[in-house]
Amino acid sequence: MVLEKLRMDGPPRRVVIVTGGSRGLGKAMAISLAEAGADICIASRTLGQLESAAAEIEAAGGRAPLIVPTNVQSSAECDALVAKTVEHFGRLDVMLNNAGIGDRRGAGSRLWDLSDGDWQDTIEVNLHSTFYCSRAAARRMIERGGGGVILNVASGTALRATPNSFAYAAAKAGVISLTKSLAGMLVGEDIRVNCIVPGYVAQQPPATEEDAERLRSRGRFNTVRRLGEAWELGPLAVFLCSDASSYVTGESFIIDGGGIAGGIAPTGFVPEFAAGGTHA
Amino acid sequence: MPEWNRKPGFDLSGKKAMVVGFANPLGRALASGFAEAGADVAVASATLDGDEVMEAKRAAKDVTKLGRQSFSQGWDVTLPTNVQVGLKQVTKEFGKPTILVYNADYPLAKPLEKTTDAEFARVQQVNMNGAYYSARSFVREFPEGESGRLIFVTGIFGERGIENLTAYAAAKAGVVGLSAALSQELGGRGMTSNCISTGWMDYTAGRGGDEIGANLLLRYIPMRRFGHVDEVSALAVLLASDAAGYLNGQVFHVDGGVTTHL
Repeated sequence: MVLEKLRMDGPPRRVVIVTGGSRGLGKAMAISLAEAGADICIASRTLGQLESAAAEIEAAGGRAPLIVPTNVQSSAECDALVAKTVEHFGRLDVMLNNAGIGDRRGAGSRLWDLSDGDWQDTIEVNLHSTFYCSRAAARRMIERGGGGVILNVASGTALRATPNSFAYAAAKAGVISLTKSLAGMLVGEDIRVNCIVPGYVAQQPPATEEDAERLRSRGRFNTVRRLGEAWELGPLAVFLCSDASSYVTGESFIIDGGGIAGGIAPTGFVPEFAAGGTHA
Repeated sequence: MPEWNRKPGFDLSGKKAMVVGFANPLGRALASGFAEAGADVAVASATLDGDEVMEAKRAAKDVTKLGRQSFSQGWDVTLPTNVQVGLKQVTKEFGKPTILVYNADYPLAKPLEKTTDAEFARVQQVNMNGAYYSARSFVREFPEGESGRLIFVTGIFGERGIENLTAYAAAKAGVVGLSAALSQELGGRGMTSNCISTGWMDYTAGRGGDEIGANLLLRYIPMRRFGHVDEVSALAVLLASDAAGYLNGQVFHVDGGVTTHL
């Protein structure tokens, strides 16, 4: 039955690590996965944020998540994250590589202005982290006889020209490529590897009317005339992390309201010409 | 803290869905999946082929067994008037569907130079023209203000080349283009349009045997097996739900990893 396959409360109950799980998209996905019955470990740099996210996740799923402060730029810390999760819950089923930095480091720089440090940081947090965490998770999964899911989070910027954030876009394109190659490599171990590719998605609900207006205004240029909201990634993550997607691997699921599908003309542009293609 | 207006991802309670196309076993699985998630489901065969019409009737029975309303019809999707009249009757007897799944499937494997005009036309008509007519009638009858979902089941054969499938590939690729254009045309009206692209399924014609050693094709599929209908329906339920309003204009592959070869 369809709905049973989407549950993650087992037996055995699935254990999911969400990096960057203390806010934004990561927290939203963690909440949906907790609602589906999974045990959750969230990792990010800041303990305070992890603690407040943990309370929300517990409220959603009824079970206390594990929190592990982690700098995903360090391979040793990624190994430790996996080890602590296995120690705490006794298993690991899903590695959700969501940690990333979007627009902070060097965004808006011209090619000739971007420093080595900003380039390296951007590639490390977005791409190296995915490699470190996937490797650590796959080792554990294979040790225990295989089986599991790696779910990456890339970005629509990876698929289109993104002059404003070219390092970020390149790192995220690397994540999409890694998804395909690792899917091919790990399929024999019964580990599925997929990727969510979000377009413009608001990370949290608007706090003020001014905020809301800014979001509405940006949303005008999207196909569905609004921005996405972080919670909308949740059900997609549940699908991709659960047995419901058992025949899906190496795939990138774009969730962008139709932006990539229609990106060749401004939103709402209506070409008018008669049958036969006579351009007026 | 302000809150989002979150919607459940796999709940179709109170919704009315329409599934067209029962020549393969996926149609029946989709109808059951929707009913299990709470939707009433109307069904229509894509052709008047006796087996397909009977399969649609069985799907309708599955839906009512799950405690939901159903309504079954035999359509000939190659005739636009037939589709329009059929959907009008669905609207009258069952209610206006807000979810449309087009699952008509009419494969043909033949070398280009041996394919007749009639064969080529039939493949285009059932696979692609019918998708256009069904979508058009669905949108004409659509209750404005509701959220709408169009889901087209296509195949990887419309996206990657394969020998002896020219007519079928052209038709399936046509559906991908149709869905992409609809995603833009309807996106501002609360409707989304997506494709689910299946790979080699355990009902795909011409797939060969299930023994890996004997069937070279299986060695080419990363998962080393053919897909099953139950592995598609959860994605359709997700795409049909109110939580999927930001999934639009895409082709989602359920193919055991085969398109990662590129």
